[in-house]
Amino acid sequence: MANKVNDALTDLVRGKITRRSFVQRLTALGLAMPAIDSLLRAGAAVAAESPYSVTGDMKEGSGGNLVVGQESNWDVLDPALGTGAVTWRTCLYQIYESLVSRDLDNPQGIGNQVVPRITKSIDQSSDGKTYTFHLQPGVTFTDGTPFDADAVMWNIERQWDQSKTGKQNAPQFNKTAAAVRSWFWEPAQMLEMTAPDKNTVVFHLAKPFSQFVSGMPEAGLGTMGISSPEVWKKGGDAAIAATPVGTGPFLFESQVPGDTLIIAKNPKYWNSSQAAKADRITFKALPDAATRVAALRAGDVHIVFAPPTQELASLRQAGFIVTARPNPHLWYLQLNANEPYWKDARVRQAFFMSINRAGMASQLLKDTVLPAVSANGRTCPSWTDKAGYADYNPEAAKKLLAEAGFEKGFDTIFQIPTGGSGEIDPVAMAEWIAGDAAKVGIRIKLQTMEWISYLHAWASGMGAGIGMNQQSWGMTSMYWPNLPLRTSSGLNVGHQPDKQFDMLLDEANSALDQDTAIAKYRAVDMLNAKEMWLVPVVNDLAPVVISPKVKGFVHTSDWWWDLKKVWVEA
Amino acid sequence: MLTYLAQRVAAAVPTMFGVSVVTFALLHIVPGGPVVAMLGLAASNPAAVAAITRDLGLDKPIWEQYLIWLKRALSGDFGMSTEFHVPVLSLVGPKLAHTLLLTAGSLVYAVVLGTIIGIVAAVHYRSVFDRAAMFVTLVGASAPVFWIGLLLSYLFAIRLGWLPAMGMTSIIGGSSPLIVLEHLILPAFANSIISMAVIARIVRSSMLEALVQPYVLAARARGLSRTRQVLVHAFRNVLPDAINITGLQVGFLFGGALIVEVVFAWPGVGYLIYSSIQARDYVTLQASVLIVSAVFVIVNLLADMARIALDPREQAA
Amino acid sequence: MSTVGAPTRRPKLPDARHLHPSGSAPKSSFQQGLASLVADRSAMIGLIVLLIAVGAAIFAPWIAPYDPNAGEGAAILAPPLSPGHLLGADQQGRDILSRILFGARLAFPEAMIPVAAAAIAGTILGLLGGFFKGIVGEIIMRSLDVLFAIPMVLLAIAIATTLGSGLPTVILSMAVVITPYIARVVATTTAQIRSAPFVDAARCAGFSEWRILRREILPHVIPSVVVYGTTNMGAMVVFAAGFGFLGLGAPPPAADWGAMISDGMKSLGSAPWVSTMPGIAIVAVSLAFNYLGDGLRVALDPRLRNRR
Repeated sequence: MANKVNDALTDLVRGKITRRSFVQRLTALGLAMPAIDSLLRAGAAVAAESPYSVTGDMKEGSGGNLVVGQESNWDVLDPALGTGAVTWRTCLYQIYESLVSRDLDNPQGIGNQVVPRITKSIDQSSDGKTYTFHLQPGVTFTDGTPFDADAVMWNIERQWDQSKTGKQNAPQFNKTAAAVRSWFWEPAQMLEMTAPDKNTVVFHLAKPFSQFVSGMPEAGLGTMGISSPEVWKKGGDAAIAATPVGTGPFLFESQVPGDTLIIAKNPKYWNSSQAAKADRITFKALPDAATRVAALRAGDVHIVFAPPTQELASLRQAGFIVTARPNPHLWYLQLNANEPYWKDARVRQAFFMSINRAGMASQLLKDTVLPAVSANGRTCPSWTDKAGYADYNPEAAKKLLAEAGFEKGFDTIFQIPTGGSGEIDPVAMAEWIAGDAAKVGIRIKLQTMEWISYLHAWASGMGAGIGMNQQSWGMTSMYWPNLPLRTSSGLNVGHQPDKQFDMLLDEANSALDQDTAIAKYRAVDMLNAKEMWLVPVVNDLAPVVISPKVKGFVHTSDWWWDLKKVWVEA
Repeated sequence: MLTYLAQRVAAAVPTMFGVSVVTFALLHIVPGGPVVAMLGLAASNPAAVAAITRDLGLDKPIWEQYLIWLKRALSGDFGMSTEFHVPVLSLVGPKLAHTLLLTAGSLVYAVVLGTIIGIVAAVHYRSVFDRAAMFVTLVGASAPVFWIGLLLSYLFAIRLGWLPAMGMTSIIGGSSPLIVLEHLILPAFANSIISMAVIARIVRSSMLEALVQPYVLAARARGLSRTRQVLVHAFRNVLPDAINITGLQVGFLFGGALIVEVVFAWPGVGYLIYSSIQARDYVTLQASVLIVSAVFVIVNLLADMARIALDPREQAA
Repeated sequence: MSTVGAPTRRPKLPDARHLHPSGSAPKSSFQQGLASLVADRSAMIGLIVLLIAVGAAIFAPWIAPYDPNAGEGAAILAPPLSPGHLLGADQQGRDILSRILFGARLAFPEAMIPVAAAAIAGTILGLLGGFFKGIVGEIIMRSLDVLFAIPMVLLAIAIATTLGSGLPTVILSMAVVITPYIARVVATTTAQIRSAPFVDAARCAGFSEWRILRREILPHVIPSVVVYGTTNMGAMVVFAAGFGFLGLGAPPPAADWGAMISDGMKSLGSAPWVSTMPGIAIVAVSLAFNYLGDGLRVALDPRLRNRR
C-alpha cells in the first residue's frame, strides 16, 4: 500500500498524472483528505521516493577530518561582504551565526521553519513595526570577547545605511556591504535600533515588513552573520577576512586562498548539545567537475558538490551515496517585454505550454531536478502547485499561437551562459527548450556566453532583439518574488511592465501575519501563472555525493549547509 | 659574452614595458570586469556595482589606471587579487615555482628519453625499432597535449590507479617531495612528448651522419666496442645539435606547461592565469602575464647562452 | 631587310639534349620537386588521408548517419559498436561519428585560414621590418618582440576572451599569434638579402624601394613562407582544437573537435570514448599534414632533395 502511495507521488511529481488523478488514486486506496492534502504539501516525502535519499548513514559517533570538495572557490571570509551562497555555505555558516536560522540538519519536513539561533526568542508588536530580539545570554566569540546587544548592533551598522534616516553612519559602515544587502534593508525601512539591556535588541521599522525575520537568514546577497567587532577594531576589513571570528560550532584554522580552507571544532561553543561532531573540516576548491569526482573516487575527499549527472549511476554502483532534497532553487527564464511577439499573453502562455519540463527532468537530467510548477522555490511557505501554471500541451500551444496570429510561428534569440553557480547544465537545457519550442513554431536561436560575460549582459537588462534569458535563484523567504517580478527591481531584466505585481507584492510585504502573507504571495504567483513573464522550468534537487564513511549527513533544504552533526568514520 | 648578455637584457626592458601595456589594454576590453565577478547575481544591483567600481578605482580613465598600476608595480606592489583577497605576488610566487618544476620535469623527460630513442634508432637504422619509434614519436607530436594528458590520466590514474589523476599534492597524504614527484610524472610526461619527438629526430639524424664519419670508422678499425664507438665518439659530435635543439625547446616547454596545468589541475601560474581570466581578476592577470613573459624571456636567454657556451663552433665564431 | 629598329632576338642556345645520358632534357626545379614529392610514400599517404578528410568535411551532410546536433535520450553515452552508433554517442545522445564528420568542417578552416591570413600579414610586416633600417623597421621589430614575449597560449586566450567565443574569434586570435613567427622568418631573409648585389644593381637602375621589395625580395621570401606554413599546418589543427577545448571556439552545440574532448572529460571514468574519438580524428589530420609537410619541405629544398 505504501508502495502504491509512493508510486502515485512519484508520478505526480514527474508530471505523469494530474493532481485530480492523484487524489482519485489515493482516495481509492482508502486515504482520507487531510492525509492526502498533507502528502501533497510534503515535498520532502516526495524527494524520498526519488532514487536519491535525503540523508547518508545516520550512525551516532564523532571525530574525524571531513574533507569537502567544493565546486568553486569561496569569496572573502567576511559575513557582510562575502557574496554567493558558496562562501556562506562553505565555511561562514559553520563559523558565524545569524540571529535566526532554519532547521537545516533535520531530515524531516520541508526545512523552511525559521528557528532562533543566537536568539532565545522574538516578539513582534501587534502593529508589525517593532521586533524585540531576546539574545542568548552567556555567548562569547571564539576570540573571548562577549556576544551581546552591542555586538549585534555593531554588525548591523556595518551593513545598514543609516544616512537615509538622517543619522551618521558608524565608522565600520561599509558601502559595498550596504549595497549588496540593500535588498533587505530597503524594504525593511528601519528607523532605529535600541538595546534596553545587554541581551535585548529592539528594531523599529517605519511600516510592517512581513519578511523581516524570514529574510534574516538569507545569504548570497550578504549575510547577517555576527562577527566579533574587536577583530575589525584591530585591523579593519582585512583583519576580518584574514582571521574570521564568530560564535559558531566551528572556528577558523587556516586557509590557502583558492585552494584549501580548514576549520576546527569550537570547544567552547555556547550550545553544548549542538556542538560539532567532527574534529576538523577541510574545504578544497575543485572547480573542475571531472577532478572533483576523481578526488572522491580516490578517497581524497569525502563529500562532493555539483557532481556531473552522468557519473551518478556509476558512483552509486561504486558504493557512494547520492543525496538530494527539494530546496529553494529555481531555474527560470524571463521574457523580454519589449519584443513585439511577447506582447500578447497568449503567446507567452503558448511558449510555456510547449516546454516538456517533466521530460527534461527525467530524460535529460536523470531526475536530479523536479519540474517547476511555481515561481517560488519548493521550500518557500507560499509554494504551491495550485497556482495555475498550465500543463505541458504542445497542441493547445499551437492553437493559442494561431489565435494570437502566429500560426507561422516567429524567431527569437535566447541568451544562455555556458556555466555558472546553480546553473546545472544550462546549454543542454536551453537546447532542449529550443527543440520543444520548435515543435510549435517558435524558432529559438541560442546565444551562448561565458558566465561572467553573461552575468554582465544579464545584469544590464535584455537588449533589443533578445527574446529571453535565464537565471537560477530562489529563496526560502517569501520575499523572493520581489526580486524578479517587481517592475523597478534590478532583476526584472525583461522589463516586465505590469504594476499589478508591485501592488500585490506591497500588500504581501506589509501583511501583519504569516498566513495573510502566504495568501498574498500566492496571489503574485497566480498572477505570474496567467501573465507568464517569468517562466519557471525546473527545481534543482542539488545532488551531493558522499563517501560511505561520512556519518550524520543531512542534505540541506536551503542553499547552505549545517555541518555540525557530520563526522567521519576512520 | 657579457656584452651579448647586456645587449639582450637591455632589449628586454622595452619589450616588458610593451607587454604590460598590451596586457592592460586587452584586459580592460574584456566584457564584465572584476566587479561582476565579485558580485555575482548581486551585479543586478546598480548601487552595489557602483560602490565596488569606485573602490577598485575602475571608474577612472584607462590611461590613468595604467599609470597608477605602473607606479605601484615599480615599487613592488602588484596589488590585491580580487578573487583571493591576498597580495598578488604572494600568490604568483609559489605558483611560478610549481610551473618551473613542471617545465624542468618535462625537460628531463624530453632530453633523456628523446636522446636515448634517437641514438638507439640511429644505431639500428631502418630496423623495426627505428621505424616504430619514429612513427610513434611523430604521432605523439601530432596529438594535442591536452588529449594525451587525458588519455594518460584515464589509463594510469583512473583505470590502473597507479598514479594520481590531478593536482600536485595529496589532499590527505600531504606534500612531501616524494608525493610531489609522484604527481609530477603524468603531467611532465604529457608536456614533454612533442619536444621528445623533436629531440629524438634531430639526435637520430645527427647520429646517422656521425656514424659514417671517418673518425668513427677509425675507432671501429681500432677494435673498440660498438658501444664505445657510439657513446664516446659519435655522440660527441651529436652534442652540439642536441644542445641547440634543446635550447630552443625550453621556451616551448614552458609555454606548453601552461596548458597541461589546466588538464591536470597542476597549481602553477598557467592554471592561475586560466582561472583568473574566468574570474576577471585583472590585478592577478596583469602581474601574472608580465611575470610569465619575463620568465619566458629569461628562460630563452639562458638557453641561448648555454647553447653558445657549450657549442664549440659558436665559440670559435 | 633592315635590322634597325627591330627588336633584338635572343640567340638560340645550343640544344644540350644530346649531352644528357638518358637522352631527355634536364628537368626543371619544379619537376624535380614534384617527382621527389610523389616518390615520398609517407607524404603521399598523408595527402590521401587529407583528401579523404576534406572530402568527408565537404560531403558530411550527405554521408553522416545522423544530425550532429540531434540528441537521442535512449542513446546517451552509448559505447562504440552500439547498434546505429559506430563510434558511440555522447552525453546528450548525439552520434559521435556524425559529429566528427561535421567537426571537420570547422577544423580545416580554423587551421588554414589563420595561416593564410598570417602569411599575408606576416610577409608584409617582415618585409617592412627587415628592409627599412630606420625607425619604421625598429618599431616593427620591437612590436614583434613584445608579441613573442607573451606565450602564444596566453595571447590567444586573452584575445578570444575579449571578443567572445566563436569561429571568427578563433581565426583572428590564431592569425595574430602566428603572424610574428612568419614575420620573423621573412624579416631574417629580407635582412640577409637587402645588401645583396642584385638589390644594389636594382637601386642603381633607378628602381624605387617599393619596387625592389616587390620584385626582387618578395620572390625570395615566398618559398620560406610556404614551407613554414605547410610544415606547421598540423600544429595549427592542434592549436585550433585547443581553443575548442578551452571553450573559446564555435559555441555549443557546434561539433568542434576540441570542445567534444572537453565535454567528454566529465564522463571520462565511465565513457572514455567521448573524449578519445575526436582526439583520434585530430591526430590523423595533424599527422597527415605533418607527413605531407615534411615531404614538401624536402621537395622544395634542392639540397635535402638530393640527399634522399
